Amino acid sequence: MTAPKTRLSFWRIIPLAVFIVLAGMLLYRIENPRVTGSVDSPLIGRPLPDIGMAVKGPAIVNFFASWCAPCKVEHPYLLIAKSRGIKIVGVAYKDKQTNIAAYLQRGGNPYVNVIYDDDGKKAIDLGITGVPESFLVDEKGIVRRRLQGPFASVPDILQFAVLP
Amino acid sequence: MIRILFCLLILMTPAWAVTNPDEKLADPALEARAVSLSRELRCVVCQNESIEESRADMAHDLRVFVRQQIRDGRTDDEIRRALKNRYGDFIFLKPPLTARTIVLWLMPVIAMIVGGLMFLVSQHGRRRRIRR
Repeated sequence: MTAPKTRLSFWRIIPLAVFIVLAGMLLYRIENPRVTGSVDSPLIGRPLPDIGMAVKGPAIVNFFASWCAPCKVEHPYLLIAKSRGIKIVGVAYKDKQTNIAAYLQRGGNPYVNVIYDDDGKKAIDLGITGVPESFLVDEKGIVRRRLQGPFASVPDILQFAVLP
Repeated sequence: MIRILFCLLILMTPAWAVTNPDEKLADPALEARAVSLSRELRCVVCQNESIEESRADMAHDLRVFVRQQIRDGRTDDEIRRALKNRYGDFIFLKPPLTARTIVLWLMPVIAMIVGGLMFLVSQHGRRRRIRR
């Protein structure tokens, strides 16, 4: 009598086990939200689309805006990267020149150039999903890396700037 | 009373299309193409809405992009390819069938087979117990 009962409970455990595995995967992704690899930019390995200026790398192309809160978080790291000799080209996404000028005067200017993307067309050409977003461009103008969201630390941006 | 409330609830169905009248294409046939294409495209900000339904700023920009491409005489496939080159397969609400997405597409079938087997096994076990 006991033997079939244990076999039955083994089958009953499977849905619970599947649920636990799925819940675990979900929790893991919530804890590690940075998306890399699987949903990476199709631009990687291809020339940077026209942003109104030829970018000769190695350089970081950084989409930002004065109205964007996470941009303020990464701003100090951009300044430190600049002081370490990293070239950063800024693309101001849907912003006014006067706001950008005030923003860079207040917080310091990490950019060698600022390009304006008033209507968001350049953002669409680069497949941007929000600001900030950064691309690493090599000396041939090829996109090598992409980061969605802000740089989290100084080592984060310094590592990003090294060509893979 | 509940019936009346229920009827009111049905009448309250939200207006799905959020396209502004001024961004619509003049030619109704082209506009219909823009709408049907936009329904396939993921709003990259809100992710589970199409750009046709989304109120996000970026979805608006993508709707304008689609209409601009249609106005320039591009075919639907050319527009899909242009967006794929920018955003990857992520932009499509329905992921294309590739080696990497095959598990995703076959999952319902696999789940049916596994579930069916489990059902059969449990029925078998029960019948045996009843026989005893």
